[in-house]
Amino acid sequence: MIGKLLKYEMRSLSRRFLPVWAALLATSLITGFLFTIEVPLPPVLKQIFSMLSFIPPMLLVALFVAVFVLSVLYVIQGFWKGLLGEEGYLMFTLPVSPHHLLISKGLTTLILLFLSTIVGILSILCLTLPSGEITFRAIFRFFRELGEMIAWDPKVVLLIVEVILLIVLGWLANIYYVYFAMAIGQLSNKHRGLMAVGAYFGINIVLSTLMSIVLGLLSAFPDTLYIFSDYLVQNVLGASNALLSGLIAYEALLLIAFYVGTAVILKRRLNLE
Amino acid sequence: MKDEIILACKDLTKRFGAICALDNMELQLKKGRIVGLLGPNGSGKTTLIKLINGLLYPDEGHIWIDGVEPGVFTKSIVSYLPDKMYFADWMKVKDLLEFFEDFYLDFDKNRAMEMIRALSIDPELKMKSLSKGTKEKVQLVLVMSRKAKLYLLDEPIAGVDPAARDFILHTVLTNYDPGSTVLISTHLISDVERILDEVVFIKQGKNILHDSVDRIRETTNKSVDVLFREMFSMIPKVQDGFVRPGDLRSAPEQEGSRPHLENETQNTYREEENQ
Repeated sequence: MIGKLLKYEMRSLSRRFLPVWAALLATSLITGFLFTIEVPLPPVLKQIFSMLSFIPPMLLVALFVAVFVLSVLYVIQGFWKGLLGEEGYLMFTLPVSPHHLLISKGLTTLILLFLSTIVGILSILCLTLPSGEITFRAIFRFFRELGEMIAWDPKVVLLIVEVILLIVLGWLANIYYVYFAMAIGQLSNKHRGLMAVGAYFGINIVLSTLMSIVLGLLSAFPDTLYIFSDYLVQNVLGASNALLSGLIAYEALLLIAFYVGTAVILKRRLNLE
Repeated sequence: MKDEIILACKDLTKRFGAICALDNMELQLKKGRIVGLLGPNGSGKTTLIKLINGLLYPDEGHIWIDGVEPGVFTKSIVSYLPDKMYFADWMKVKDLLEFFEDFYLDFDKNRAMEMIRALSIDPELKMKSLSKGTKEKVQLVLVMSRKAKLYLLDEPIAGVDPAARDFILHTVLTNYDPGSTVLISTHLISDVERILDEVVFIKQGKNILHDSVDRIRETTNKSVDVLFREMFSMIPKVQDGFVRPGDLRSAPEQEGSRPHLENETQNTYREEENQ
């Protein structure tokens, strides 16, 4: 069933985002070429051309902002409208478990953020590549240095995997953080939106308070910092590994808490408009 | 006997803050009936329907649909028509047919397509380009094209013109499987009375009367509409003979569908009568 849900989620996603992504890539490519290619033109046309040349970069910035804003909106709207609004009457009466609804929403949003990031990177490449081979060389150098590091110590691969895992978990935890805040918001009969925003900031305050308490406790033992920096000097990879593992555990914990909280509310306290 | 029951509610209670929307509701519906769930606004009709289809979770008590508490299985045998539009408006009519076919194994796409054609609705049209009445018709076609065991129709005729009402009632009558039960919530009784086998009156979250339409007519000599007006009257005393032309329509005789009357409900009914 989750496959079927994903099919419809992806359909609605591509309907909304394919045009914006395509526009962004096309504009970057045009802008990239515009800055590099010297076209032999009569002076009058050249003047008009240079007067209009501010349009593609402006358009490009606008499209970047659009992709960003639309992606954030999608995180919110996909859940708020698609599950907690009137469409919820359809989705929550389908013969699927609420977990499947929640997972398919989260996965779709993760895919969206991933694709938007890829499109963003591609568009920067489109913008810079036509102007010369420097960037190609930079990309090549980046991968060569990475290869050298892996050759130096294969544990680097583990770190790379950990960084990727941390990014994915961080995205997921943030997606379900937003979902959890909205699930709390829908509990209110009159001020659903306000309550959701309140919950979002409330959770943020709770988490940062907890964090500062933990850091305060750690700094109460001055040794910890020394021990860690010592470790860092002796064994860079080991220390980075420990730090990354800790962050991964933290994000995983947040993700589980937000997911379970949202699932319980949707099962026991669903309050559709 | 036990397996004839499609829906059973026991001590069902649901509160919203200080308001008790359903108060120890007891109800049993048998297979193969068209049942009217009648009550004034705010009496708990929609709450009951949402509890049955799993959109709400009870505070106390239990619900069994075909012997199973609400969950993935019961959602596969319950076909629900909400009192709002529940589709993403960018979807085309034919997308919706595909959606239903994907998720409901009991959905008969051909039958739905026939009905859509009979209504001369273009399946290629997007939902947002349709009028409100047409959207409601599409939704009803989808819901009634399932071979469900229990249909829950929440206010299906509120807000549509009389011609559309006739279409809706006709669709319900001609499409529901004789072994299935249809629960229709409404406060427009005179319009639906002719298709009902049984009625449930609910008031302040309680089931105050559950009886067959025929028996009500026999014992009280009144139409359900008149009885409803009397029982839920805001005016202290209602004169007998408060009859509107709509009430004179005779209901089609339902053969072999005289439900066995539970003692409990009969008593409640008598108490109400004596008041």
